[in-house]
Amino acid sequence: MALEDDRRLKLAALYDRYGNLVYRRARKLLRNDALARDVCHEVFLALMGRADSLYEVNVGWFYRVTTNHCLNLLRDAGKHSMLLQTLQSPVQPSGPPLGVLLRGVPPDLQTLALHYYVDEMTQEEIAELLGVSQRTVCSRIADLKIVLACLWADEPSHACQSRGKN
Amino acid sequence: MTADSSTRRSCPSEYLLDRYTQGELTDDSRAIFVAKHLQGCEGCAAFVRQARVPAPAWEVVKPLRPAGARRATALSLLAVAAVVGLLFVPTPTPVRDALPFSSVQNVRRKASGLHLDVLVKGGTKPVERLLEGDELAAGDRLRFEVSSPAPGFVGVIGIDGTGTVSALAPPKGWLYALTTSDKILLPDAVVLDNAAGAESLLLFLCEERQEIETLTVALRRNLDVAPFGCRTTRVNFNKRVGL
Repeated sequence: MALEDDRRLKLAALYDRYGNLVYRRARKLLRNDALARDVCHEVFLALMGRADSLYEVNVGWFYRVTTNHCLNLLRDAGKHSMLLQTLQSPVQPSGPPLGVLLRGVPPDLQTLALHYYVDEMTQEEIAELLGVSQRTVCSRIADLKIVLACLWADEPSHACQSRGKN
Repeated sequence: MTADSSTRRSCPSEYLLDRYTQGELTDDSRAIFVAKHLQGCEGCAAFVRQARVPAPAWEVVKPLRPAGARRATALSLLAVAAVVGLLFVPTPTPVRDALPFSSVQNVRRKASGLHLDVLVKGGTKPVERLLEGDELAAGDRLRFEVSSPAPGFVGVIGIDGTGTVSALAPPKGWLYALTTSDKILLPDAVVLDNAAGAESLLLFLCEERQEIETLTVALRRNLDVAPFGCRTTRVNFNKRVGL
């Protein structure tokens, strides 16, 4: 008895194993069943291009790729507000939705914001997922909080002004 | 597992639960933390149960992209359909299901309460449950449904007629964590090769999390003794080649 080596069977097995995860995550971020299915298909299509490393994919890979596909889809469609419209701000629960705040958040911090505020991951988990050090995550979260605070402030503080100059 | 900021960090993140479900937590302290948490949190336990459900096999897919992107999307969907078409959706036949289920289970209850049910898909035939001593053919696809009276870590290993030991589910890496006595369909599917003869499928339930390679190495040393800390149950069948 031996495992079928055929690549397509391996892909099918990966779909069986991780398809539910991808669909659930896409559905959570997009809040739309049809778009979530679309993203699910695209994620596994992306996987088809990784024939030589099918055995190296794991939960982290599917999280990263699914999140990127969702964010790209929303950026393309200009639907960022749809993503987080109903989520309350973690900074100030009585304030406007987080989705509104993310409109001004730089793209490189949006993924971090999603993992930190929406996924409620720890800094350790985010570092592991993004393949960076925990110190880097900590620093970028500090940046993110400054950005959020600046977006909220009626009168920009010195930190906001200095960031704006950079 | 809630978006409510007031309860942030009280439960493991979905990412951590997903890694736990897939047996990817290499850090024992985190695996133990999640396992203990699941015992007292119905919300997270339900999440893990749901996470173990195999992916849906969608039969109808329609393009969702703007018209300019439809051609590429259509080609993509064809490719995905080719993959999804391979999915093995267990739909037990009425004939086999009509059998008293206990009659299937009794023949394989060698470790108390530990059960291995094998779902077989052969060619265009519908999915059937394997009975002890059944005859299968090269090319048949197998999936494994397991249940256990106690939580632990499970894996399935095959031994063919020549004594060759193969890890089947998972094919490599950590055993699957089992936290419930419910039947769990393992995500892996295997295809029988063309070596004829008697074969066995062994389900292992281990107290400690470990890699399946540990079990295969132990079995290659001694086929008759279960690795330390593990219980096992076995299903035997014969494999024919050709018609």
